[in-house]
Amino acid sequence: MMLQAIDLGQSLRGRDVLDGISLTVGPGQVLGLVGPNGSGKSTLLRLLAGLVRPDRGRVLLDGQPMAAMPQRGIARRMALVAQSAETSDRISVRDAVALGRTPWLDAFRPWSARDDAHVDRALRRVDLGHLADRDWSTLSGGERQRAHIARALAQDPQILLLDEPTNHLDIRHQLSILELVAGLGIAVVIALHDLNHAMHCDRLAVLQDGQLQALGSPEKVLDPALLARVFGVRASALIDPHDGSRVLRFHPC
Amino acid sequence: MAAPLIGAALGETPIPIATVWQALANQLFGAGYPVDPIDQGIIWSYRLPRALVAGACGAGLAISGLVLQTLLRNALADPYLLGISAGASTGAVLVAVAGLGAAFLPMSVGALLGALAAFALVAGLARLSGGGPSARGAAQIVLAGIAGSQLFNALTSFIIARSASAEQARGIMFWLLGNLSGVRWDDVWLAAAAVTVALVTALWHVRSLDAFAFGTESAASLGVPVRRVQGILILATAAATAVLVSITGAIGFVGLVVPHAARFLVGSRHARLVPVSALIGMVFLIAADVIARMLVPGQTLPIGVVTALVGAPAFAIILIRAGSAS
Repeated sequence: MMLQAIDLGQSLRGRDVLDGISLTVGPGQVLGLVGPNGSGKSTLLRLLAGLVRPDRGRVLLDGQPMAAMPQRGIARRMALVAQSAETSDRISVRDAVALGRTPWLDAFRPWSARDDAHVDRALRRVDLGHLADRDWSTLSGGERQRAHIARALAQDPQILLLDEPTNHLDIRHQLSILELVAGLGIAVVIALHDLNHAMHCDRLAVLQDGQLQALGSPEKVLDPALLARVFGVRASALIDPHDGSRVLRFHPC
Repeated sequence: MAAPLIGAALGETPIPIATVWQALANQLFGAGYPVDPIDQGIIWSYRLPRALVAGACGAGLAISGLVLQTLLRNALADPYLLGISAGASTGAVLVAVAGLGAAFLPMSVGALLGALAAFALVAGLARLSGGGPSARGAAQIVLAGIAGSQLFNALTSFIIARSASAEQARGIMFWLLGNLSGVRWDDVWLAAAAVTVALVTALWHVRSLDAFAFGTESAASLGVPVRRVQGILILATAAATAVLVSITGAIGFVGLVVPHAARFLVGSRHARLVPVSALIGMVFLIAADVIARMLVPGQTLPIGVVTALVGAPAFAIILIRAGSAS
Protein backbone atom coordinates (compact mmCIF):
# COMPACT_ATOMS: atom_id res chain seq x y z
CA MET A 1 0.00 0.00 0.00
CA MET A 2 1.22 3.46 -0.97
CA LEU A 3 0.81 6.59 1.12
CA GLN A 4 1.20 9.83 -0.76
CA ALA A 5 1.06 13.45 0.35
CA ILE A 6 0.69 16.10 -2.33
CA ASP A 7 1.52 19.71 -1.55
CA LEU A 8 0.03 19.56 1.98
CA GLY A 9 -0.47 22.80 3.86
CA GLN A 10 -2.04 23.65 7.21
CA SER A 11 -2.58 27.01 8.86
CA LEU A 12 -3.28 27.86 12.47
CA ARG A 13 -4.45 31.37 13.34
CA GLY A 14 -3.12 32.76 10.08
CA ARG A 15 0.31 31.17 10.47
CA ASP A 16 1.47 28.31 8.23
CA VAL A 17 2.20 25.29 10.42
CA LEU A 18 2.91 23.22 7.34
CA ASP A 19 3.45 24.29 3.76
CA GLY A 20 4.08 22.55 0.47
CA ILE A 21 4.81 19.06 1.86
CA SER A 22 4.96 16.33 -0.78
CA LEU A 23 6.22 12.83 -0.04
CA THR A 24 5.56 9.18 -0.79
CA VAL A 25 6.01 5.99 1.24
CA GLY A 26 5.67 2.54 -0.27
CA PRO A 27 5.40 -0.98 1.15
CA GLY A 28 8.38 -2.07 3.23
CA GLN A 29 9.80 1.45 3.39
CA VAL A 30 10.56 3.32 6.59
CA LEU A 31 10.40 7.09 6.27
CA GLY A 32 11.80 9.04 9.22
CA LEU A 33 10.50 12.52 10.10
CA VAL A 34 13.10 14.65 11.85
CA GLY A 35 13.21 18.30 12.79
CA PRO A 36 13.47 20.57 15.82
CA ASN A 37 10.60 20.96 18.29
CA GLY A 38 7.63 22.73 16.73
CA SER A 39 8.75 22.02 13.17
CA GLY A 40 5.42 20.37 12.31
CA LYS A 41 6.17 16.64 12.67
CA SER A 42 3.12 15.85 14.77
CA THR A 43 0.83 18.00 12.63
CA LEU A 44 2.06 16.23 9.50
CA LEU A 45 1.39 12.82 11.05
CA ARG A 46 -2.13 13.86 12.02
CA LEU A 47 -2.81 15.01 8.46
CA LEU A 48 -1.41 11.76 7.07
CA ALA A 49 -3.56 9.79 9.54
CA GLY A 50 -6.70 11.56 8.34
CA LEU A 51 -7.46 12.95 11.82
CA VAL A 52 -7.34 16.50 10.50
CA ARG A 53 -8.43 17.70 7.08
CA PRO A 54 -5.57 19.56 5.41
CA ASP A 55 -6.25 23.19 4.50
CA ARG A 56 -4.34 22.72 1.25
CA GLY A 57 -3.23 19.67 -0.73
CA ARG A 58 -4.31 16.04 -0.59
CA VAL A 59 -3.39 12.72 0.98
CA LEU A 60 -3.74 9.63 -1.24
CA LEU A 61 -3.96 6.00 -0.18
CA ASP A 62 -3.06 3.79 -3.13
CA GLY A 63 -3.95 6.68 -5.41
CA GLN A 64 -7.39 7.21 -3.81
CA PRO A 65 -8.05 10.54 -2.06
CA MET A 66 -8.31 9.83 1.66
CA ALA A 67 -10.78 12.68 2.21
CA ALA A 68 -13.43 10.58 0.42
CA MET A 69 -12.84 7.42 2.48
CA PRO A 70 -14.87 6.41 5.53
CA GLN A 71 -12.97 6.58 8.83
CA ARG A 72 -13.27 2.81 9.28
CA GLY A 73 -11.81 2.14 5.83
CA ILE A 74 -8.80 4.32 6.68
CA ALA A 75 -8.35 2.56 10.04
CA ARG A 76 -8.26 -0.86 8.35
CA ARG A 77 -5.30 0.26 6.26
CA MET A 78 -3.47 2.60 8.60
CA ALA A 79 -2.70 2.79 12.32
CA LEU A 80 -1.34 5.69 14.35
CA VAL A 81 0.65 5.65 17.58
CA ALA A 82 0.17 9.17 18.88
CA GLN A 83 2.20 10.83 21.62
CA SER A 84 0.84 10.55 25.14
CA ALA A 85 -2.65 9.08 24.69
CA GLU A 86 -3.75 8.37 28.23
CA THR A 87 -6.77 6.99 30.05
CA SER A 88 -8.09 7.02 33.59
CA ASP A 89 -10.28 3.98 32.89
CA ARG A 90 -9.69 0.75 34.71
CA ILE A 91 -8.67 -1.23 31.64
CA SER A 92 -6.39 -4.25 31.26
CA VAL A 93 -3.46 -4.25 28.85
CA ARG A 94 -5.13 -6.95 26.78
CA ASP A 95 -8.37 -4.92 26.53
CA ALA A 96 -6.40 -1.82 25.52
CA VAL A 97 -4.62 -3.76 22.77
CA ALA A 98 -7.92 -5.38 21.73
CA LEU A 99 -9.21 -1.89 20.86
CA GLY A 100 -7.02 -2.23 17.77
CA ARG A 101 -9.56 -4.71 16.36
CA THR A 102 -12.32 -2.05 16.44
CA PRO A 103 -12.26 -1.22 12.70
CA TRP A 104 -12.65 -4.92 11.82
CA LEU A 105 -15.68 -5.57 14.03
CA ASP A 106 -19.33 -4.70 13.76
CA ALA A 107 -22.72 -6.10 14.76
CA PHE A 108 -22.49 -8.76 12.05
CA ARG A 109 -18.83 -9.65 12.59
CA PRO A 110 -18.40 -10.10 16.33
CA TRP A 111 -15.19 -10.86 18.19
CA SER A 112 -13.71 -14.22 17.16
CA ALA A 113 -10.70 -16.44 17.75
CA ARG A 114 -8.95 -14.69 14.86
CA ASP A 115 -9.12 -11.40 16.74
CA ASP A 116 -7.66 -13.10 19.81
CA ALA A 117 -4.80 -14.36 17.66
CA HIS A 118 -4.08 -10.84 16.36
CA VAL A 119 -4.03 -9.48 19.91
CA ASP A 120 -1.75 -12.27 21.19
CA ARG A 121 0.68 -11.81 18.33
CA ALA A 122 0.77 -8.03 18.78
CA LEU A 123 1.46 -8.42 22.51
CA ARG A 124 4.29 -10.88 21.83
CA ARG A 125 5.86 -8.66 19.20
CA VAL A 126 6.33 -5.81 21.67
CA ASP A 127 7.38 -8.22 24.41
CA LEU A 128 4.35 -7.56 26.63
CA GLY A 129 2.78 -11.03 26.68
CA HIS A 130 3.58 -11.45 30.37
CA LEU A 131 1.77 -8.20 31.29
CA ALA A 132 -1.43 -8.87 29.33
CA ASP A 133 -3.68 -9.14 32.37
CA ARG A 134 -2.17 -6.21 34.26
CA ASP A 135 -4.15 -3.03 34.82
CA TRP A 136 -3.19 -0.12 32.54
CA SER A 137 -2.55 2.22 35.48
CA THR A 138 0.18 -0.09 36.84
CA LEU A 139 2.32 0.12 33.67
CA SER A 140 5.45 2.25 33.41
CA GLY A 141 5.68 4.91 30.71
CA GLY A 142 7.73 2.63 28.49
CA GLU A 143 5.34 -0.28 28.90
CA ARG A 144 2.42 1.97 27.98
CA GLN A 145 4.22 3.08 24.84
CA ARG A 146 4.81 -0.53 23.83
CA ALA A 147 1.15 -1.36 24.55
CA HIS A 148 0.11 1.50 22.25
CA ILE A 149 2.32 0.03 19.52
CA ALA A 150 0.78 -3.39 20.13
CA ARG A 151 -2.68 -1.81 19.78
CA ALA A 152 -1.62 -0.34 16.44
CA LEU A 153 -0.23 -3.70 15.28
CA ALA A 154 -3.47 -5.45 16.30
CA GLN A 155 -5.14 -3.17 13.77
CA ASP A 156 -3.22 -5.21 11.17
CA PRO A 157 -2.32 -2.07 9.19
CA GLN A 158 -0.45 -1.79 5.92
CA ILE A 159 0.74 1.67 6.91
CA LEU A 160 1.96 2.52 10.39
CA LEU A 161 2.44 6.08 11.64
CA LEU A 162 4.40 6.64 14.86
CA ASP A 163 4.95 9.91 16.70
CA GLU A 164 8.23 9.68 18.63
CA PRO A 165 7.56 6.13 19.84
CA THR A 166 10.95 5.78 21.54
CA ASN A 167 10.28 8.56 24.04
CA HIS A 168 10.13 7.18 27.58
CA LEU A 169 11.79 3.91 26.58
CA ASP A 170 15.03 2.55 27.96
CA ILE A 171 17.77 1.96 25.41
CA ARG A 172 17.11 -1.77 24.99
CA HIS A 173 13.45 -1.19 24.21
CA GLN A 174 14.28 1.81 21.99
CA LEU A 175 16.41 -0.45 19.83
CA SER A 176 13.92 -3.31 19.87
CA ILE A 177 11.10 -0.99 18.76
CA LEU A 178 13.22 0.38 15.90
CA GLU A 179 14.18 -3.13 14.88
CA LEU A 180 10.55 -4.26 15.08
CA VAL A 181 9.37 -1.32 12.97
CA ALA A 182 12.04 -1.91 10.32
CA GLY A 183 11.13 -5.60 10.08
CA LEU A 184 7.36 -5.16 9.67
CA GLY A 185 7.53 -5.11 5.88
CA ILE A 186 4.79 -2.45 5.72
CA ALA A 187 5.01 1.26 5.00
CA VAL A 188 6.13 3.17 8.09
CA VAL A 189 6.33 6.89 8.84
CA ILE A 190 8.09 7.56 12.12
CA ALA A 191 8.85 10.87 13.80
CA LEU A 192 12.15 10.66 15.69
CA HIS A 193 14.21 12.93 17.88
CA ASP A 194 17.41 10.91 18.00
CA LEU A 195 19.27 11.50 14.72
CA ASN A 196 21.40 8.39 15.20
CA HIS A 197 18.18 6.36 15.34
CA ALA A 198 17.03 8.20 12.23
CA MET A 199 20.12 6.87 10.43
CA HIS A 200 18.44 3.43 10.35
CA CYS A 201 15.47 4.69 8.29
CA ASP A 202 15.35 4.05 4.55
CA ARG A 203 14.71 7.71 3.89
CA LEU A 204 14.46 10.87 5.97
CA ALA A 205 12.27 13.93 5.63
CA VAL A 206 13.69 16.96 7.43
CA LEU A 207 11.17 19.54 8.59
CA GLN A 208 11.81 23.08 9.73
CA ASP A 209 9.11 25.69 10.39
CA GLY A 210 6.60 23.56 8.54
CA GLN A 211 8.70 23.32 5.38
CA LEU A 212 10.36 20.26 3.92
CA GLN A 213 14.09 21.05 3.99
CA ALA A 214 15.38 17.78 2.57
CA LEU A 215 14.13 14.35 1.55
CA GLY A 216 16.41 11.43 0.81
CA SER A 217 18.69 8.76 2.24
CA PRO A 218 20.01 9.50 5.75
CA GLU A 219 23.64 9.61 4.60
CA LYS A 220 22.84 12.25 1.98
CA VAL A 221 20.39 14.28 4.03
CA LEU A 222 22.17 14.58 7.37
CA ASP A 223 25.21 16.46 6.15
CA PRO A 224 27.03 18.99 8.35
CA ALA A 225 25.62 22.01 6.48
CA LEU A 226 21.99 20.93 6.96
CA LEU A 227 22.54 19.94 10.60
CA ALA A 228 23.98 23.38 11.30
CA ARG A 229 21.19 25.18 9.42
CA VAL A 230 18.18 23.21 10.74
CA PHE A 231 19.24 21.98 14.17
CA GLY A 232 21.83 24.63 15.03
CA VAL A 233 24.52 22.10 15.91
CA ARG A 234 27.99 21.24 14.64
CA ALA A 235 28.20 17.53 13.83
CA SER A 236 31.14 15.22 13.34
CA ALA A 237 30.74 11.76 11.87
CA LEU A 238 32.58 8.75 13.29
CA ILE A 239 32.76 5.22 12.01
CA ASP A 240 31.63 2.47 14.38
CA PRO A 241 34.38 -0.19 14.24
CA HIS A 242 31.77 -2.85 15.11
CA ASP A 243 29.85 -2.67 11.82
CA GLY A 244 31.38 0.20 9.86
CA SER A 245 28.24 2.38 10.09
CA ARG A 246 28.35 6.14 10.47
CA VAL A 247 27.68 7.66 13.90
CA LEU A 248 27.03 11.36 14.51
CA ARG A 249 28.32 13.35 17.44
CA PHE A 250 26.96 16.82 18.10
CA HIS A 251 28.51 19.97 19.50
CA PRO A 252 27.11 23.44 20.03
CA CYS A 253 27.79 25.73 17.06
CA MET B 1 -37.97 -7.71 37.04
CA ALA B 2 -38.52 -8.21 40.77
CA ALA B 3 -37.59 -4.64 41.71
CA PRO B 4 -40.78 -2.91 40.45
CA LEU B 5 -42.90 -5.55 42.21
CA ILE B 6 -41.07 -5.09 45.50
CA GLY B 7 -41.36 -1.35 44.97
CA ALA B 8 -45.10 -1.81 44.54
CA ALA B 9 -45.35 -3.88 47.72
CA LEU B 10 -43.64 -1.32 49.96
CA GLY B 11 -45.32 1.86 51.08
CA GLU B 12 -47.28 3.40 53.88
CA THR B 13 -49.57 0.38 53.85
CA PRO B 14 -47.30 -2.57 53.14
CA ILE B 15 -48.92 -5.11 50.85
CA PRO B 16 -47.59 -8.70 50.77
CA ILE B 17 -45.67 -9.48 47.59
CA ALA B 18 -47.98 -12.44 46.98
CA THR B 19 -50.93 -10.04 46.87
CA VAL B 20 -49.02 -7.91 44.36
CA TRP B 21 -48.62 -11.00 42.17
CA GLN B 22 -52.28 -11.84 42.52
CA ALA B 23 -53.38 -8.29 41.70
CA LEU B 24 -51.14 -8.38 38.66
CA ALA B 25 -52.55 -11.71 37.55
CA ASN B 26 -56.10 -10.44 38.06
CA GLN B 27 -55.44 -7.37 35.98
CA LEU B 28 -53.50 -9.01 33.15
CA PHE B 29 -55.11 -12.44 32.83
CA GLY B 30 -58.37 -12.05 34.72
CA ALA B 31 -57.17 -14.71 37.16
CA GLY B 32 -59.87 -13.90 39.71
CA TYR B 33 -57.81 -14.12 42.90
CA PRO B 34 -59.66 -12.71 45.90
CA VAL B 35 -57.80 -9.39 46.34
CA ASP B 36 -59.25 -6.43 48.26
CA PRO B 37 -60.39 -3.99 45.54
CA ILE B 38 -58.68 -1.14 47.39
CA ASP B 39 -55.36 -3.02 47.39
CA GLN B 40 -55.99 -3.91 43.78
CA GLY B 41 -56.49 -0.22 42.97
CA ILE B 42 -53.45 0.94 44.94
CA ILE B 43 -51.23 -1.61 43.24
CA TRP B 44 -52.45 -1.33 39.69
CA SER B 45 -53.24 2.39 39.36
CA TYR B 46 -50.81 3.91 41.80
CA ARG B 47 -47.79 1.95 42.98
CA LEU B 48 -46.97 -0.19 39.97
CA PRO B 49 -46.88 2.62 37.37
CA ARG B 50 -44.95 4.69 39.88
CA ALA B 51 -42.35 1.97 40.41
CA LEU B 52 -42.09 1.33 36.68
CA VAL B 53 -41.58 5.02 35.87
CA ALA B 54 -39.00 5.27 38.66
CA GLY B 55 -37.18 2.24 37.25
CA ALA B 56 -37.27 3.54 33.67
CA CYS B 57 -36.11 6.94 34.85
CA GLY B 58 -33.19 5.47 36.80
CA ALA B 59 -32.12 3.31 33.87
CA GLY B 60 -32.42 6.17 31.37
CA LEU B 61 -30.50 8.69 33.49
CA ALA B 62 -27.78 6.12 34.25
CA ILE B 63 -27.28 5.36 30.55
CA SER B 64 -27.22 9.09 29.74
CA GLY B 65 -24.61 9.73 32.41
CA LEU B 66 -22.48 6.80 31.27
CA VAL B 67 -22.56 7.87 27.63
CA LEU B 68 -21.71 11.49 28.49
CA GLN B 69 -18.85 10.41 30.77
CA THR B 70 -17.38 8.23 28.04
CA LEU B 71 -17.80 10.65 25.14
CA LEU B 72 -16.54 13.70 27.03
CA ARG B 73 -13.76 11.76 28.83
CA ASN B 74 -15.04 13.34 32.01
CA ALA B 75 -15.76 11.45 35.23
CA LEU B 76 -18.11 14.23 36.37
CA ALA B 77 -20.31 14.38 33.28
CA ASP B 78 -23.99 13.81 33.93
CA PRO B 79 -27.19 15.22 32.38
CA TYR B 80 -27.98 17.06 35.63
CA LEU B 81 -24.54 18.64 36.15
CA LEU B 82 -24.20 19.60 32.47
CA GLY B 83 -27.44 21.55 32.55
CA ILE B 84 -29.34 19.23 30.20
CA SER B 85 -31.96 18.51 32.87
CA ALA B 86 -32.26 22.21 33.67
CA GLY B 87 -32.78 23.01 29.99
CA ALA B 88 -35.40 20.26 29.74
CA SER B 89 -37.19 21.70 32.78
CA THR B 90 -37.24 25.15 31.20
CA GLY B 91 -38.65 23.76 27.96
CA ALA B 92 -41.29 21.73 29.76
CA VAL B 93 -42.33 24.61 32.02
CA LEU B 94 -42.49 26.94 29.05
CA VAL B 95 -44.96 24.59 27.40
CA ALA B 96 -46.95 23.85 30.55
CA VAL B 97 -47.24 27.38 31.89
CA ALA B 98 -46.87 29.76 29.02
CA GLY B 99 -49.62 27.81 27.31
CA LEU B 100 -47.86 26.63 24.21
CA GLY B 101 -50.12 23.55 24.47
CA ALA B 102 -50.71 21.62 27.65
CA ALA B 103 -51.27 18.22 26.03
CA PHE B 104 -48.63 15.72 27.07
CA LEU B 105 -46.54 15.15 23.98
CA PRO B 106 -45.86 18.84 23.37
CA MET B 107 -44.50 19.08 26.94
CA SER B 108 -41.88 16.42 26.27
CA VAL B 109 -41.09 18.04 22.93
CA GLY B 110 -40.60 21.33 24.75
CA ALA B 111 -38.32 19.52 27.18
CA LEU B 112 -36.32 18.02 24.30
CA LEU B 113 -35.81 21.41 22.66
CA GLY B 114 -34.80 22.88 26.02
CA ALA B 115 -32.37 20.02 26.65
CA LEU B 116 -30.71 20.40 23.25
CA ALA B 117 -30.47 24.18 23.62
CA ALA B 118 -28.84 23.72 27.03
CA PHE B 119 -26.37 21.14 25.75
CA ALA B 120 -25.45 23.31 22.76
CA LEU B 121 -24.88 26.28 25.06
CA VAL B 122 -22.80 24.29 27.55
CA ALA B 123 -20.76 22.55 24.84
CA GLY B 124 -20.08 25.87 23.12
CA LEU B 125 -19.07 27.51 26.37
CA ALA B 126 -16.82 24.57 27.28
CA ARG B 127 -15.14 24.74 23.87
CA LEU B 128 -14.55 28.49 24.08
CA SER B 129 -13.06 28.15 27.55
CA GLY B 130 -10.73 25.33 26.53
CA GLY B 131 -12.71 22.36 27.84
CA GLY B 132 -11.31 19.02 26.84
CA PRO B 133 -10.00 15.73 28.11
CA SER B 134 -7.21 17.29 30.20
CA ALA B 135 -7.70 17.75 33.93
CA ARG B 136 -8.24 21.48 33.54
CA GLY B 137 -10.49 20.93 30.51
CA ALA B 138 -12.64 18.55 32.53
CA ALA B 139 -13.15 21.24 35.14
CA GLN B 140 -14.05 23.74 32.40
CA ILE B 141 -16.82 21.46 31.11
CA VAL B 142 -18.33 21.15 34.59
CA LEU B 143 -18.07 24.90 35.16
CA ALA B 144 -19.79 25.52 31.83
CA GLY B 145 -22.50 23.09 33.00
CA ILE B 146 -22.97 25.09 36.19
CA ALA B 147 -23.29 28.31 34.22
CA GLY B 148 -25.83 26.66 31.91
CA SER B 149 -27.81 25.16 34.80
CA GLN B 150 -27.97 28.51 36.59
CA LEU B 151 -29.11 30.29 33.45
CA PHE B 152 -31.85 27.79 32.67
CA ASN B 153 -33.01 27.55 36.29
CA ALA B 154 -33.28 31.35 36.31
CA LEU B 155 -35.28 31.23 33.08
CA THR B 156 -37.58 28.62 34.61
CA SER B 157 -38.14 30.75 37.70
CA PHE B 158 -38.76 33.76 35.50
CA ILE B 159 -41.38 31.93 33.45
CA ILE B 160 -43.10 30.66 36.61
CA ALA B 161 -43.06 34.08 38.29
CA ARG B 162 -44.43 35.78 35.19
CA SER B 163 -47.03 33.38 34.00
CA ALA B 164 -48.01 30.79 36.58
CA SER B 165 -50.81 31.09 39.12
CA ALA B 166 -49.85 30.53 42.76
CA GLU B 167 -51.23 27.01 42.72
CA GLN B 168 -49.50 26.15 39.45
CA ALA B 169 -46.26 27.54 40.82
CA ARG B 170 -46.40 25.34 43.91
CA GLY B 171 -47.04 22.23 41.83
CA ILE B 172 -44.22 23.08 39.45
CA MET B 173 -41.71 23.79 42.20
CA PHE B 174 -42.46 20.36 43.67
CA TRP B 175 -42.15 18.75 40.27
CA LEU B 176 -38.83 20.52 39.59
CA LEU B 177 -37.20 18.69 42.51
CA GLY B 178 -38.18 15.36 41.03
CA ASN B 179 -41.62 14.04 41.74
CA LEU B 180 -43.27 10.75 40.92
CA SER B 181 -46.68 11.27 42.45
CA GLY B 182 -49.48 11.27 39.95
CA VAL B 183 -47.73 9.21 37.27
CA ARG B 184 -50.17 7.13 35.21
CA TRP B 185 -49.86 4.26 32.80
CA ASP B 186 -49.52 6.73 29.91
CA ASP B 187 -46.32 7.95 31.56
CA VAL B 188 -45.05 4.37 31.86
CA TRP B 189 -45.25 3.80 28.11
CA LEU B 190 -43.62 7.13 27.33
CA ALA B 191 -40.79 6.54 29.85
CA ALA B 192 -40.28 2.98 28.57
CA ALA B 193 -40.04 4.24 24.99
CA ALA B 194 -37.48 6.89 25.99
CA VAL B 195 -35.33 4.37 27.85
CA THR B 196 -35.56 1.85 25.02
CA VAL B 197 -34.26 4.44 22.56
CA ALA B 198 -31.33 5.34 24.82
CA LEU B 199 -30.54 1.70 25.65
CA VAL B 200 -30.66 0.40 22.08
CA THR B 201 -28.61 3.32 20.76
CA ALA B 202 -25.97 2.82 23.47
CA LEU B 203 -25.85 -0.96 22.97
CA TRP B 204 -25.50 -0.54 19.21
CA HIS B 205 -22.43 1.67 19.80
CA VAL B 206 -20.67 -0.30 22.57
CA ARG B 207 -17.50 -0.84 20.52
CA SER B 208 -17.30 2.80 19.52
CA LEU B 209 -17.77 3.79 23.15
CA ASP B 210 -14.93 1.45 24.15
CA ALA B 211 -12.71 3.09 21.53
CA PHE B 212 -13.00 6.44 23.33
CA ALA B 213 -10.92 5.04 26.22
CA PHE B 214 -7.80 6.88 25.02
CA GLY B 215 -9.55 10.01 23.79
CA THR B 216 -11.34 11.21 20.68
CA GLU B 217 -8.26 11.25 18.41
CA SER B 218 -7.47 7.69 19.33
CA ALA B 219 -11.09 6.73 18.63
CA ALA B 220 -10.86 8.40 15.21
CA SER B 221 -7.65 6.54 14.38
CA LEU B 222 -9.46 3.30 15.31
CA GLY B 223 -12.00 4.03 12.59
CA VAL B 224 -14.79 5.53 14.70
CA PRO B 225 -16.57 8.37 12.87
CA VAL B 226 -16.25 10.50 15.99
CA ARG B 227 -18.56 13.40 15.17
CA ARG B 228 -21.37 11.19 13.88
CA VAL B 229 -21.18 8.82 16.86
CA GLN B 230 -21.07 11.71 19.34
CA GLY B 231 -23.99 13.39 17.59
CA ILE B 232 -26.22 10.29 17.53
CA LEU B 233 -25.46 9.25 21.10
CA ILE B 234 -25.81 12.71 22.61
CA LEU B 235 -29.05 13.29 20.71
CA ALA B 236 -30.49 9.95 21.85
CA THR B 237 -29.52 10.37 25.50
CA ALA B 238 -30.56 14.05 25.61
CA ALA B 239 -33.92 13.03 24.13
CA ALA B 240 -34.36 10.30 26.73
CA THR B 241 -33.36 12.68 29.53
CA ALA B 242 -35.77 15.31 28.25
CA VAL B 243 -38.74 12.93 28.09
CA LEU B 244 -37.96 11.58 31.56
CA VAL B 245 -37.58 15.09 32.98
CA SER B 246 -40.93 16.07 31.47
CA ILE B 247 -42.53 13.20 33.42
CA THR B 248 -40.69 13.30 36.74
CA GLY B 249 -38.80 16.58 36.91
CA ALA B 250 -35.03 16.85 37.10
CA ILE B 251 -33.64 14.10 39.34
CA GLY B 252 -29.98 14.68 40.12
CA PHE B 253 -26.98 12.46 40.77
CA VAL B 254 -28.36 9.20 39.32
CA GLY B 255 -26.55 9.71 36.01
CA LEU B 256 -23.37 10.70 37.84
CA VAL B 257 -23.08 8.04 40.52
CA VAL B 258 -24.56 4.89 38.94
CA PRO B 259 -22.04 4.53 36.06
CA HIS B 260 -19.18 4.73 38.56
CA ALA B 261 -20.73 1.98 40.65
CA ALA B 262 -21.18 -0.11 37.49
CA ARG B 263 -17.54 0.45 36.44
CA PHE B 264 -16.41 -0.61 39.87
CA LEU B 265 -18.38 -3.84 39.50
CA VAL B 266 -17.76 -4.91 35.88
CA GLY B 267 -14.81 -2.87 34.56
CA SER B 268 -14.82 -0.50 31.60
CA ARG B 269 -16.10 -2.62 28.68
CA HIS B 270 -19.34 -1.05 27.51
CA ALA B 271 -20.92 -4.32 26.38
CA ARG B 272 -21.35 -5.06 30.08
CA LEU B 273 -21.25 -1.49 31.40
CA VAL B 274 -24.35 -0.27 29.53
CA PRO B 275 -26.79 -3.00 30.69
CA VAL B 276 -25.36 -3.10 34.22
CA SER B 277 -25.63 0.70 34.56
CA ALA B 278 -29.23 0.54 33.38
CA LEU B 279 -30.00 -2.19 35.90
CA ILE B 280 -28.35 -0.45 38.85
CA GLY B 281 -30.01 2.84 37.89
CA MET B 282 -33.39 1.14 37.81
CA VAL B 283 -33.02 -0.52 41.21
CA PHE B 284 -31.47 2.61 42.74
CA LEU B 285 -34.31 4.90 41.74
CA ILE B 286 -37.06 2.44 42.74
CA ALA B 287 -35.38 2.12 46.14
CA ALA B 288 -34.99 5.92 46.37
CA ASP B 289 -38.70 6.30 45.62
CA VAL B 290 -39.66 3.80 48.32
CA ILE B 291 -37.50 5.71 50.81
CA ALA B 292 -39.01 9.02 49.66
CA ARG B 293 -42.48 7.65 50.34
CA MET B 294 -41.68 6.07 53.71
CA LEU B 295 -39.03 8.28 55.35
CA VAL B 296 -41.42 10.92 56.72
CA PRO B 297 -44.71 9.33 57.82
CA GLY B 298 -47.75 10.83 56.16
CA GLN B 299 -45.70 12.78 53.65
CA THR B 300 -43.88 12.06 50.38
CA LEU B 301 -40.53 13.74 49.85
CA PRO B 302 -39.46 14.79 46.37
CA ILE B 303 -37.34 11.88 45.08
CA GLY B 304 -34.61 14.34 44.09
CA VAL B 305 -34.04 15.04 47.77
CA VAL B 306 -33.29 11.36 48.42
CA THR B 307 -31.00 10.93 45.40
CA ALA B 308 -29.12 14.08 46.37
CA LEU B 309 -28.66 12.86 49.95
CA VAL B 310 -27.04 9.69 48.59
CA GLY B 311 -25.49 11.25 45.51
CA ALA B 312 -23.79 14.33 46.91
CA PRO B 313 -21.41 12.38 49.20
CA ALA B 314 -20.72 9.93 46.36
CA PHE B 315 -20.01 12.92 44.10
CA ALA B 316 -17.49 14.17 46.67
CA ILE B 317 -15.72 10.80 46.67
CA ILE B 318 -15.55 10.72 42.85
CA LEU B 319 -14.20 14.27 42.87
CA ILE B 320 -11.43 13.36 45.32
CA ARG B 321 -10.52 10.17 43.45
CA ALA B 322 -10.49 11.93 40.06
CA GLY B 323 -8.19 14.56 41.57
CA SER B 324 -5.72 12.04 42.94
CA ALA B 325 -5.71 9.99 39.69
CA SER B 326 -4.54 12.80 37.41
